[in-house]
Amino acid sequence: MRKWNVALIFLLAVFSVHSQGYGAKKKAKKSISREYGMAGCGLGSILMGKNDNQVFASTTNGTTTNQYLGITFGTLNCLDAKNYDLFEKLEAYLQVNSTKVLAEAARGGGEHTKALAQIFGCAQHSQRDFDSAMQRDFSLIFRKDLNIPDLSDSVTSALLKDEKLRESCTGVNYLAYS
Amino acid sequence: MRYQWIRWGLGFSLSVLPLSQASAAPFGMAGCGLGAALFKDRPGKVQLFVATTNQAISNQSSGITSGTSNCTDSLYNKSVATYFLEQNRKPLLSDIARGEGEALLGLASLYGCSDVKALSSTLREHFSELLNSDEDGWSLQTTVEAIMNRDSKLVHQCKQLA
Repeated sequence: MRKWNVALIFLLAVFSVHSQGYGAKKKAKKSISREYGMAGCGLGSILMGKNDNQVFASTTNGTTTNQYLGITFGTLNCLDAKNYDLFEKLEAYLQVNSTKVLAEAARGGGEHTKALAQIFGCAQHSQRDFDSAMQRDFSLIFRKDLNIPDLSDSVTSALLKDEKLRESCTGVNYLAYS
Repeated sequence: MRYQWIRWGLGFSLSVLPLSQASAAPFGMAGCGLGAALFKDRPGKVQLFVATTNQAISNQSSGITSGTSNCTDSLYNKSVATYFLEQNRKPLLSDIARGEGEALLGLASLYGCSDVKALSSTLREHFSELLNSDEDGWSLQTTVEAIMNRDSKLVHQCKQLA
């Protein structure tokens, strides 16, 4: 019985990788929202999201090693290693500098939006596009009740939406097509 | 049954070990727990190890319940507005006093206020309330929002206040 459970979860995790792999040209992602909370990603995070009972999510994530498979294959709400690295840097930066980024985004760019663009791997010549995307979507990005993980998602989503930045920022490009 | 209690007890005692240090994010993709206390948000394959360690003797569950093992929600429950007011308390107060400045502009854009002058003069009328609020971001935010909400013009023009 237990063997069947393991096999099922394994298929679930692997199949979602493969179903993404087919098709000649992949459609670009236009937004992102990471749906895991304190219990981390995995099957539990799919059931409980980031706000509901995290103890339940934790137990479910631990069942039949599905979290393990999710992290390995980048499924079950888990990010793949490269995207995870991007969000880790982004959150660390925003936790300290969100206030300055906010002020500079409002007036159309500055030192901190430049550093932020570097985190996303944007080419230097695209700084103006980056700054104008931040200014244009200001009220969408900096909603006052967002916490830092949500702010990271909203900043990234604003960049994903922009066709030019999807091409000129390596981090955004990778995220859009992975 | 007896072993179940030992399991939980051990899980709990591991979860309260004072292992957490100052770091950007208290945990990564594998969530919080003993693994996160040891390796925090280190990327890549390390998260696999964290995932295993977090699940060992259910220390993640007890960490979440008791708020230990890096299972703090400071990253989750502090908002952009709170950070802003916490970090800009001094410049904001002096901007309000003189009626202009970058911190004031930041506040106006955060709350979506088109008329910075009106915002500034309303806040200046209640300056002592702002001064008397506690040092932390939360109480300054509560005070600022309360003052703004009392002014019907500001409620109307600041799109993000509600």
